[in-house]
Amino acid sequence: MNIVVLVKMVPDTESRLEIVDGKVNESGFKYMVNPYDEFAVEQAVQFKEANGGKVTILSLFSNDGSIDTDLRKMMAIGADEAIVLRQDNYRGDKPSANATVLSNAIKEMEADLIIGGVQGIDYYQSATGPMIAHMLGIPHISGVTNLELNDGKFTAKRQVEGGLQIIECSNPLLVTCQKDMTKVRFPALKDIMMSKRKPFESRTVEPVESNDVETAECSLPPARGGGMIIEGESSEDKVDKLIEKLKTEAKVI
Amino acid sequence: MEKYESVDFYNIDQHFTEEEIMVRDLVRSWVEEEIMPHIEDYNSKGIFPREIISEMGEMGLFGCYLDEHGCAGFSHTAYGLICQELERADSALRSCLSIQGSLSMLPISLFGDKNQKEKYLPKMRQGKLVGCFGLTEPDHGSDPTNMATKAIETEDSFVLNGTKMWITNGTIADLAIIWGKLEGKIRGFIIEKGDKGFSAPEMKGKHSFKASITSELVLQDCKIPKDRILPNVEGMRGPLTCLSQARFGIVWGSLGAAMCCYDASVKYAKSRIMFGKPIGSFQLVQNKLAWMLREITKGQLLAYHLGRAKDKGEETSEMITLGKMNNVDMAMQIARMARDIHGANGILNEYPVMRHMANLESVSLQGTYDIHNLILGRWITGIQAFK
Ligand SMILES: Cc1cc2nc3c(=O)[nH]c(=O)nc-3n(C[C@H](O)[C@H](O)[C@H](O)COP(=O)(O)OP(=O)(O)OC[C@H]3O[C@@H](n4cnc5c(N)ncnc54)[C@H](O)[C@@H]3O)c2cc1C
Repeated sequence: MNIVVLVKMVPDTESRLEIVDGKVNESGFKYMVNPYDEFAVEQAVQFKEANGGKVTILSLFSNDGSIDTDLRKMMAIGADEAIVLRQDNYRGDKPSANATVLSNAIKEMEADLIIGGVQGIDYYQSATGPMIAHMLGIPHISGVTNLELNDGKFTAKRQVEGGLQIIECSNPLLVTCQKDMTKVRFPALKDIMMSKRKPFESRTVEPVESNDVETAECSLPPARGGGMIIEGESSEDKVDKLIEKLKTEAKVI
Repeated sequence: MEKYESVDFYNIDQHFTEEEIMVRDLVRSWVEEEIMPHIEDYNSKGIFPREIISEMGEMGLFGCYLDEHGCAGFSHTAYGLICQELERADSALRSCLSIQGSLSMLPISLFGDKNQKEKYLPKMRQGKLVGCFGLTEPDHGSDPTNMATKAIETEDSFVLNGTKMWITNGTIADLAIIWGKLEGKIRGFIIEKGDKGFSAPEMKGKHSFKASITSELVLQDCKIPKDRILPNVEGMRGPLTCLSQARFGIVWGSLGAAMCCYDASVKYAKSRIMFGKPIGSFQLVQNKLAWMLREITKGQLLAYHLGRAKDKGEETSEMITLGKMNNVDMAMQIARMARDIHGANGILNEYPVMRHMANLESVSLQGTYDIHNLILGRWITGIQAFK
């Protein structure tokens, strides 16, 4: 079984968010593997361990090499190789353009299963995965909480409002993983050493035209104003004053 | 709790290899997910769950700088970084690594024979067998040379008598490396759990290292087969070689404890409002934070340099002594300062500082501050001042 895992590099949750002239200042960002994608890597490796085959990490990113160690960690978990598509002016908020580039690369990989996270924690668009499936003309199941493979047939579970949906599908197939789909292992030191010997390829790709929407302006949530302590003779008195304020000042009741 | 931020003011990270960074990050995330949520509980109950040892074994942390019997053969610097991350959580974790790897596996690896290595090392590496190191006695701490534990040789066995004290993991250990005198010479013996005449009651009532198991080892006419002596070492060189390796780990581990206290202090100083502003805006508090950063940075440079010297086999035991003395002393002062910055909150188990502060009192013992001074004094003057 040939499995391609889509791994997006997203700003580290510790990166400081700063807006300059309505745009996010990305200059000081550090990047990490999108947490949802880690579930995909773990699931892919489990399938490989049970059924044999190959797991390839595929990532589209800029020419910044600082992410390489984090991608190598995915190989320590058990992926066999990594391919990084390096693109000038790469942006994480262009799902259509990015899906075009990624699907072009996947076309040549004869993948049975393409698996990634349900969304990137940078822009939360949940779009790239389904778009790739569409471009490749294969079915997709998104937001999967449990995925099993028996006799070449996948059984996926999805949480839907008030219930559980079970979907059966044969390959090729694209799946996006929901949070905590599986517990990501802690690799052993030996696996870290092995990961250094696994193929890690960087390929230059050209930017592509797309009809992705443009961000007009970004802003941070307004700073929280100070709180207020309501004084009063008794609890009843304080509650009365609070209700009064909620009616007249906050105008919420 | 807010996410932990490590300290790297001088960009020392650039000097670590990619593998070293990966190992450090692995242990950091394991500690974050598996240990931090429970450590205060373990500490207050005085327990160290056995599964922790299994998990450490599965990751291959024990004896990871050894290059035999499936050990990973990582650099000493990588080992140091592992110690740093473990002790960031609690000294009990680093101590467990140290006891298993440097004080139990290492003597077997360096001084044991082929059969002993094959019998114990693979299972110890995996955390399936737990070891401990019995050197200190009730009446002999800083002067182990004068130990009272004795072995006599009979036709088919050795018979040991004596008591060891303060032995980490003794009660849960499957085997103990016991140092005792045979015909007046210090030798190493492997005692197995269940050997007749051997018992390991737990010592209770500690105010420090509470999440670590500390035991007494009692040997009463304990008879062991002849193949349980470590054949290839005699004299204090045996235990001292191992202790030096363990102290190397402490050079890094104490940095981890200091980093944790510094991180907690910075966060607290920025959020605690007193006299209408964050306490971090007062010069006296900033002075303390700046001192912490300065000392940690110096300690990191020292640890890094020592690590690389060890990777090249160019370190001396005195170099390790200086590093251990400096970094433990620095960490103890930082922990106390951190408690001060935290005010009354500093004594609560909601914050890690008092736990580290208490732990470091024990960490400072493996060769006390003054004993390390005497070791350096001997190196400087050529005159030994121990007795
Ligand atoms: C939690 C914990 C875990 C431990 N784990 C282990 C273990 O696994 N295995 C093991 O073998 N041991 C272990 N130890 C023991 C530790 O190594 C000893 O405590 C240490 O060697 C000091 O010995 P002592 O406590 O008897 O102090 P002492 O030797 O009695 O020292 C008391 C004081 O006298 C000073 N002093 C002693 N001699 C001199 C001198 N010549 N000149 C000037 N000052 C001097 C010391 O600096 C110190 O301040 C552990 C201890 C603790 C607390």
